[in-house]
Amino acid sequence: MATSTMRFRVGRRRSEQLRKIFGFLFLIPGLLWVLMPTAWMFSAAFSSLAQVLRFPPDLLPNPWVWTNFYEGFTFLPFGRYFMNSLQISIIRVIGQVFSASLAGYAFARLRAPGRNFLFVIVLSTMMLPYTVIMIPQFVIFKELGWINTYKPLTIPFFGGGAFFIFLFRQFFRTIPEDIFEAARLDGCTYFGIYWRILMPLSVPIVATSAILIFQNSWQDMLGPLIYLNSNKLYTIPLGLATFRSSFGSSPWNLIMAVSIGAAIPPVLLFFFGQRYLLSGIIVGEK
Amino acid sequence: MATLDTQTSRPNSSGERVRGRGRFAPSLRTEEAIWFYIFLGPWLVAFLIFTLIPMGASLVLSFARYNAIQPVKWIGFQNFVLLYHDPVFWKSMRVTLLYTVIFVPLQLGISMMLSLLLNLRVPGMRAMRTIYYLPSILPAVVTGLVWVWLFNPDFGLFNFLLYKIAGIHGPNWLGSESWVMSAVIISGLWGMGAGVIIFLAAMQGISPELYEASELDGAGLWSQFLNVTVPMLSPVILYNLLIGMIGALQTFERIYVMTRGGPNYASYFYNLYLYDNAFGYFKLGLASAQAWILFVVIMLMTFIALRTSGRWVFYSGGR
Repeated sequence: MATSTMRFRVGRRRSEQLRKIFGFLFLIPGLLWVLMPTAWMFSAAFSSLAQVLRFPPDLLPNPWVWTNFYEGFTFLPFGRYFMNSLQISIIRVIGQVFSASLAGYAFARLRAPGRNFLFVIVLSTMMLPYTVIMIPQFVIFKELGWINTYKPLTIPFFGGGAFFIFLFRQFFRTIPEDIFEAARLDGCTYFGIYWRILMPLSVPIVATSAILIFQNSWQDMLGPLIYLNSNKLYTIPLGLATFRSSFGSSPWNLIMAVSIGAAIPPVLLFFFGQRYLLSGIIVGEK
Repeated sequence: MATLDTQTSRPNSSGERVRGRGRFAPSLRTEEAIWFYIFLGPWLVAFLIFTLIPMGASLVLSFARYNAIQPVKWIGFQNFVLLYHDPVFWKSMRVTLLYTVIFVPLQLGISMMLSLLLNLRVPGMRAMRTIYYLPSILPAVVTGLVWVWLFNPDFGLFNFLLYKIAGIHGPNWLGSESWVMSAVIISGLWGMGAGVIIFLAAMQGISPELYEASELDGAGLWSQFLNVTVPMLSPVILYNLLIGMIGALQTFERIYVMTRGGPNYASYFYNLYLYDNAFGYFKLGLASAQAWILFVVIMLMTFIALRTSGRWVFYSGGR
């Protein structure tokens, strides 16, 4: 009996190690595949245009050109676009987190007629293609005089968004009911429960939502493409898209420098928030 | 994933308390309901103004001619008839469906395998995960631009490597009708980290006991994967399948930057044509009809996926 368990243990350890080695071997080519475009981006961002267009391509810049970033963000107005994107995204994160968490709390813990029905509606809006509402929205915003402002890019999102309402609801349902009962008995208002009890407990889920909302907003090009006409209001994705088409031969070194700049905020956010991100998504799956 | 068991789990915890208070019970309950609707207020208002009314309006518009300047003109089913006889419409539909049918299973399979590997407990795995996730953080516009350049037939890295490693003279990826779809799929597969993250999160939730038990029964790695991992992940597979499908059918930004639909409509995705009709020619009625057709396609595919999911999706909660 004892020997058979022991043999089993040994065998298990060996298979475990084999699995790890094989896994690692498989991950390396994938890693190259993922990193190749990124490395290429970096190399181009520090190259002169002449070198970028050379064939066969060099892997390292020669000579190193440091002015691409400066040029991309000042001479071309990508510095301004960057601030525009930042402004829109921050407004959206604040509005969307606030209303998604309130709605999530209502769905998780408050009883009211029509609750289940409304929750099904919330979930089913995830299926709705944006194009179905895009055209009437455009007409409405045109009538309201919102074209060429940031209102169409922020205010419609103050409803919270189905996915994030769902995320908050799932999280609030994991908090023991007793806490709510006790707070109510102590005379805490419903908003007080939300603000003083739930919010301090929800740091991981607030962080997860904030990261994902920021990414959505930062990436959005279609919205700005439809609603922004004047150059000085452009966001980074829109600026990049029009920048490329407005030049006959593309200055790839500048484009890549700007692209790297455009990637910095979401990457930083992910880097500092990743410990929340995984746990936040686990909550969503429950 | 979503279990809609809202009312089942706690019949009495506060119901009893409310009943104990006798005649105050109804007013307490009403108060709670009022607060429910106050907290839901922002969503309700936004849903009404920015979703429900526009939905109705676009449904109406799909039976009308409208260019945002002249008044709406009712034309019955003409938009749909026009689309039915429009070869470009069918081309865009074919392109989009072809992409969806190839890309989504590829993405699903590869991201599941990847997350399986990334779930191994090996030093340095956290960094590895970050690297794999990074491309999916980049704006689609940036991804598009990077790949336009990687695919450049003259000085792009992709053809250079093909030549160096395999001695193949690569095609003119984005300029060739027969290769552009492959290029679009390849560039899409670069940013699949989001699905990987969701799979990873789900794998952390699988109890190690299940693996130990199956190992005691003599299951090998492959049968463990088939009989433990896949069933336990199946709700998440379904979720990723649905989200991936809905996303693939609406592909727009990356293509807008990479090819604008060319060459010769070979990558003219559904939403590109819709966008051109709406904001290029201001045929808002026609574009609305297109949008509703896509919506119906999405609903149909979702329905089929959900309907057949009963056979392969396993809910460990014993639902």
